[in-house]
Amino acid sequence: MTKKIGTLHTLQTIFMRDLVLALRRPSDTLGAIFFFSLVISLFPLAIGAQTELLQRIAPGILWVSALLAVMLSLGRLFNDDYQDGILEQIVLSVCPLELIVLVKMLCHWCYTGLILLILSPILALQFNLSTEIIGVLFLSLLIGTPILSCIGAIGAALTIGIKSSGTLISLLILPLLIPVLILGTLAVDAAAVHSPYSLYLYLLIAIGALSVFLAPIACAAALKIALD
Amino acid sequence: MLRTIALSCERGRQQLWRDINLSLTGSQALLVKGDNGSGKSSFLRMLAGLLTPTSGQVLWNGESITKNRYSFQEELLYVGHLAPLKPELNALENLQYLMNLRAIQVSQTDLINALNRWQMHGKTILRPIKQLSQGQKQRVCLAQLSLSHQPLWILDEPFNSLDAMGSLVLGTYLQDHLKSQRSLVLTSHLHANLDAIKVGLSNFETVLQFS
Repeated sequence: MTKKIGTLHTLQTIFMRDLVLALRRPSDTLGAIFFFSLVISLFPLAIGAQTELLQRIAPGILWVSALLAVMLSLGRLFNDDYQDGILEQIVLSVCPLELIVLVKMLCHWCYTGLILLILSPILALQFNLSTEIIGVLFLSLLIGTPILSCIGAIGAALTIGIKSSGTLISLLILPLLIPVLILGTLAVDAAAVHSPYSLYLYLLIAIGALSVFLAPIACAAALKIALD
Repeated sequence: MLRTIALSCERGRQQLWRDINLSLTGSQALLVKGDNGSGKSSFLRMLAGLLTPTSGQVLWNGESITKNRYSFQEELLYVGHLAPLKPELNALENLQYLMNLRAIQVSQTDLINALNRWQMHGKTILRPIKQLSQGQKQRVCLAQLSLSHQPLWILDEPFNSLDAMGSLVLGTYLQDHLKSQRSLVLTSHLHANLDAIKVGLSNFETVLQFS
C-alpha cells in the first residue's frame, strides 16, 4: 500500500528540487548577480569622484538595481514549468496550490534576492558609506527583497505562455513596487541624517507580511487561469 | 464513480462537443476516440478539473470535483500528452518529484524498481532527461503508474512514442488497474497499438467517439 507523506515534507522536497534546478542552470542567478554588480559600479564611473553626491544617491542606486535585477530573473519562474507540462501536475497536486506557490517564491528569493542581499554591503563600499548606513541598507533590503519575489511572482504567473515576457512583467510589477522602493530608500536616507528610521522598516515589514499572505493567492488564481 | 452531466466545451467560440452525459464505474475504461482537434484532450483536461466546463459539470462519487478539489485530486492520476519532466534532472529525480506532488512516499529502491519495470536500467536512469529519446521520456512518465494506486487514471495518448515492448507493459498495467475495480479514461490514435490496447482493456471499455 502507498504511504503518504505530510504536506510540510512535500513542500520541503519541492523547495529542494527548485534549488537544485537553479544550481544546475545558474544563468538566472549569475545574470542577476552580474547585472546588479555592473549597474551599481557604473554610477561611480559615470558621475566621477564626487563623494558627497555618490553618498546621497547610493541607497537609491542599490535599491533600483536590486529591483531590476530581480525583474530579470522572474521570466522563467513559472513559464518553464508551464512549457514542460509540469504546471498541470503542480495544479493537480494534493498539496494546496497557494502553499506550493509560496515555496516557489521563497526559493526564488534564495537564488536571487538573498544573493544580492549578501553582495550589497560589499558593493555599497564603493560609495564610501558609513557602516551604520550600510547596516540600515542591508536591513531594508533584507525586508524588501522577499517582497520583490512575492509580488514579482504575480507578474510571472500572469504572463505565462508569452514569449519574452520580461518586459511585460516589469511593466506590470514595477508600479506596484514603488512604495517598497520609496520606503526602502527613505529608511537609509533617514539613517544618513541620524533621524529615526525604524518607522520605515516597520512599514516595509507590514507590506511584506501582506504580500506574503496575498501574493500566493493571486498567483494560484493566475496559474489556474493560465491552464484553462 | 465518475459522472458527467450535460458537459459541453467551447474553445475560441467554436463548439467542440456538447451535452455529454456518461458515467464510469470501477473497473470500467472509457476510450475517447476522434480526429485531431476534435477535443479529446480538452475532454480529458475537463475531467481532471484543469479546464472549466463551458456548461455542465463533472461529478466524482456524487460530488462536483470543484467542490472538494483536493480530495478529488488525491484519487486522480492525470498524465497529459506532454511528459511533465525537467530536462535538467534525471529520471529518478523527476519521478521522485512527481510522487512528492502527490504526497506519496517512495524510497529510492521503489523508484528504481518502477523504472526497471519499464525497461529503464542502469545508466539511463541517471542521465539528464534531455539526453533521452521521446519513448524513454514517455516510459519515465508512465513509471508513475507503477507507483500509484489512485482509483481514477486519466491518460492522454499514453501509447504515444512507445515501442511494442513498452506498449505491452502499459497494456498489462491498464489491465491490472481495471481488474482491481478502478476506473480509466484514455485517448489513443489506436491503429498503431491496437493489440496492446485490446490486451489492456479486454472488454472493459466503452468508446466515446468525437466527430
